[in-house]
Amino acid sequence: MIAYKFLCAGGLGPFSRYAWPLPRSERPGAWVIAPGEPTLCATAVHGCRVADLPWWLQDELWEAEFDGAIATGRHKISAPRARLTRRVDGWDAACAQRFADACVLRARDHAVAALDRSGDDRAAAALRDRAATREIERAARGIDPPEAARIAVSMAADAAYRARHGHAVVAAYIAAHAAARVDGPDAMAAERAWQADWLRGALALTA
Amino acid sequence: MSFDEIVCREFVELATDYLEGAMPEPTLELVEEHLAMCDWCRDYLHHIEATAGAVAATADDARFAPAPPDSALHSLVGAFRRRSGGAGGSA
Repeated sequence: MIAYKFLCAGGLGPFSRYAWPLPRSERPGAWVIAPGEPTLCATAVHGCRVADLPWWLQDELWEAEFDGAIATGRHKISAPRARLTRRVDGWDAACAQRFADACVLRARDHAVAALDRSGDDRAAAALRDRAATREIERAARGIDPPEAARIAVSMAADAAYRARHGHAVVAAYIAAHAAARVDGPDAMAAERAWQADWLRGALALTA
Repeated sequence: MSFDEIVCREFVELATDYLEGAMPEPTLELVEEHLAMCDWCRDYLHHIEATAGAVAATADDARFAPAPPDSALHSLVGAFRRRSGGAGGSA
């Protein structure tokens, strides 16, 4: 199965700190074989379907081949062995920033919806008109929203702040929770699906 | 509203189990999802790891005396209680 793997800079596993064998000269990296029973997490090799990517953003994104009995978790897959096949070059700091900024716009929209519903048309209009991440943060911090919209507006500001500081994974997390805050748990799932689709499109992912 | 995920306060309770590899699979996935996005908890985990490493290193360090035997501890506690003027432990 072809799937994906986020690694820290230098090809290091984000939790294990394992140095993954990298592809060389168009050839896949060496197989990484799990040390024991390939139960889902403790002793398996892990990866992401496209839908799982927004939870695990790191410095490098790799396409990987997973082999053997594949187990699926909530937001990941596990297998007895895997190898890296190619780096997804489109995922770099600039792309991460674009993704973070896109998530901020989504968080802004959720805040605007909350303001609309609470009847604060003026604040909603003020926030709706902002497109740049820094402007969204400033505008959201400057609003004194009705109580019903207060958390959603704060989340928009927080998402913008984290995006400005290079934390795309946190901006995505906040946008998902902002969706849930405004429209319930199904909206969170929809927001995560939107994020995965953004990554699929931006990175031309086909697996 | 609650979601199937953990927050920082819960992670702090789970950090030792995580480091010891003594965490059941569903919890482990939740913990790593949280760690993937929470730099504060990653820092906390690194501090715990470093502290545990430093403490473990002292066990092999000749400059640190081994713990006294239980009999010596009991003698010391008994002496302390006698000096304090009470047997202690009674309610």
